[in-house]
Amino acid sequence: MVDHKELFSYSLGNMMRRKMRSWLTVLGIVIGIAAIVTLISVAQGLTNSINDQLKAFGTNAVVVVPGDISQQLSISGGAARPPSTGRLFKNDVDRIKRVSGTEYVSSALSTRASVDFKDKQATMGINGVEPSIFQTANKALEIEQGRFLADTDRHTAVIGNTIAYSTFGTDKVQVGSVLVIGSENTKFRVVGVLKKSGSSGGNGDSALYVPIEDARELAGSSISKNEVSGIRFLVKDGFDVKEVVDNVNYELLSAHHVREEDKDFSFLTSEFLQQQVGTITALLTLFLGGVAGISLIVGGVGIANTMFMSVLERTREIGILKAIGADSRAIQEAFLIESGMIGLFGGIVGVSIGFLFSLIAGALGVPTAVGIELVLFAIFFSFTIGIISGYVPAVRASRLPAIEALRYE
Amino acid sequence: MQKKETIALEAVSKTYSQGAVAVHALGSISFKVHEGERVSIIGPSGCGKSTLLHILGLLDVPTGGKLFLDGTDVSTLDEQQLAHFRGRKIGFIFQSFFLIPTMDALSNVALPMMFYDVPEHARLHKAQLMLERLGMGDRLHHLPSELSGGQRQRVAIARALVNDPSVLLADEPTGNLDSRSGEEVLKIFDELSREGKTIIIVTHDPNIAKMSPRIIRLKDGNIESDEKKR
Repeated sequence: MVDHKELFSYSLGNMMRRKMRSWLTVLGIVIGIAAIVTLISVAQGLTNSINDQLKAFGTNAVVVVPGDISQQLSISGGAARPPSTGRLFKNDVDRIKRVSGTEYVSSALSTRASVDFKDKQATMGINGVEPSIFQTANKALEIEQGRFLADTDRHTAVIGNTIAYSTFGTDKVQVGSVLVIGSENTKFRVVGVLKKSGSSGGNGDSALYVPIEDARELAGSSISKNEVSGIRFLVKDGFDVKEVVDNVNYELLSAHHVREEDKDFSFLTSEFLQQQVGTITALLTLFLGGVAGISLIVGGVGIANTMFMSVLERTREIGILKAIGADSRAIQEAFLIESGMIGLFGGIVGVSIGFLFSLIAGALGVPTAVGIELVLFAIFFSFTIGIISGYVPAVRASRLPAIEALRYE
Repeated sequence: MQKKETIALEAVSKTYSQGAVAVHALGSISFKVHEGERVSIIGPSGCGKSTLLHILGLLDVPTGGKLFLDGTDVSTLDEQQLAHFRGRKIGFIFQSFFLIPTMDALSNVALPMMFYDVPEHARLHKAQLMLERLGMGDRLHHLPSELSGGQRQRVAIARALVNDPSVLLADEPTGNLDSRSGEEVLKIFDELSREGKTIIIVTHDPNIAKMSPRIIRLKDGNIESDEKKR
């Protein structure tokens, strides 16, 4: 049996003998691994930040939207109106309230309207909401200035951070400012400004909230009497989200006189959204990883090249080793250890550099995340690349006939 | 008392094919070497002595005939067993030393033990003793490039001896040495011979060959003469 420790120091000695070439070969792997770690950390960071926002949505929150979105997904959920037919009405709200396990049931009505502030105008989505939504919105909606909407409010508005600070240019919208909204030029008094949430969708920093009845006025004839564009409710503690959603589903199906197949409404839960977004981010991760993987393959070719050179240079030495009792396996192992070491070392340095890059990207505002799985995977992967690249040269070395190797000058 | 047969060749032949032409490197060689014998194999270049040496050293396989080493028919051994036999039973000494340039003297000598279950400290201890015996005790950690030719050959001899082989095979051991270093190396062979080592020296130099009590002359791949001095 070969002493592996000795074989190891023999291989290491060979690497040190031709430092420059070893370093260049290692560099090929370092670049590949650093690219993988950086790109995947960005993809992972993005996934995490999306998931965080979904968590803010609330794991026990459920939104009912009109139409069947299982075929036509709209990520922005209640804010956009799915093109498929189907409507929700106020009495659906009451039906949901009667299902056990639901609480804080509130409806919303979305429309678009022009908004004037001083001499500037912008067209934006208007979210008509019941004030109770602010109590249940977890961390997605936090007040920075002023207050949320109250039950008795009319013609008041709570605005997202972006509207307050950038939509109208240098003119800052503050608590007490007056916005003129819609074709009827209705005046709305701003009562609250929301904290920055990081998301920019219709429910994020660019959102404008008004009492639902005011939104109905603004929508005018584009919406039927008593129609709502979305219903949001929470599942009480101790109740299973899926079970409650099933019960609500049953209730609404019978109220709408439709069967499951021609359902004219859909549920958005954080789990559902996470699945949808997960598919996209997984694809993104795969794509970025694949791009970086190509550079790693190039690095692997570099290792193979170096190892072939090494076998050629050490032909005589292989002959000597065989003459003093080394069998083919020992020779093969010596070369595999060498290429594996190049891969492993390149992996460790590459991960370190990739980690540094992701820190820099993080400091520049790109969300990044380097998990221990990514680190271990990258190091293991580069080690494997080293072994695979070294395999053919190692086999070639082990098969060199001893006398020819000894004769080789 | 009949001494043990260390090596026995029975009609060993070797034919190479160079393209369409068959080259008969060895015709039909038969001889025996007993334990403790010292034999010189001599002949002009191209007589087949290198081929014979490679076959004796298990680096090459004969096309015909049989080779017995310590009573074992080596044609029955697989690649791994052959490697094992080479490491255990044969000590090679080459004209150009063939030391590993990246390793110091001690590691070079310890190297043949690496392929067997010898603990590291025992290996280094044994290698050191062997080097000391050959007068290289103060050069343990020198690289081959830091040693003179004679010193390198001593390291190579130490390496050949370290596994206590059944036979030492030396291929022009003094060919790359100045005459003084060459004499010293030959003195070492004398000493080893007195201790009972079986030694086969391959050379083209009659002056070196005649230092052995038995001389086998090769010509065109066949034994021309096999003489023993009294």
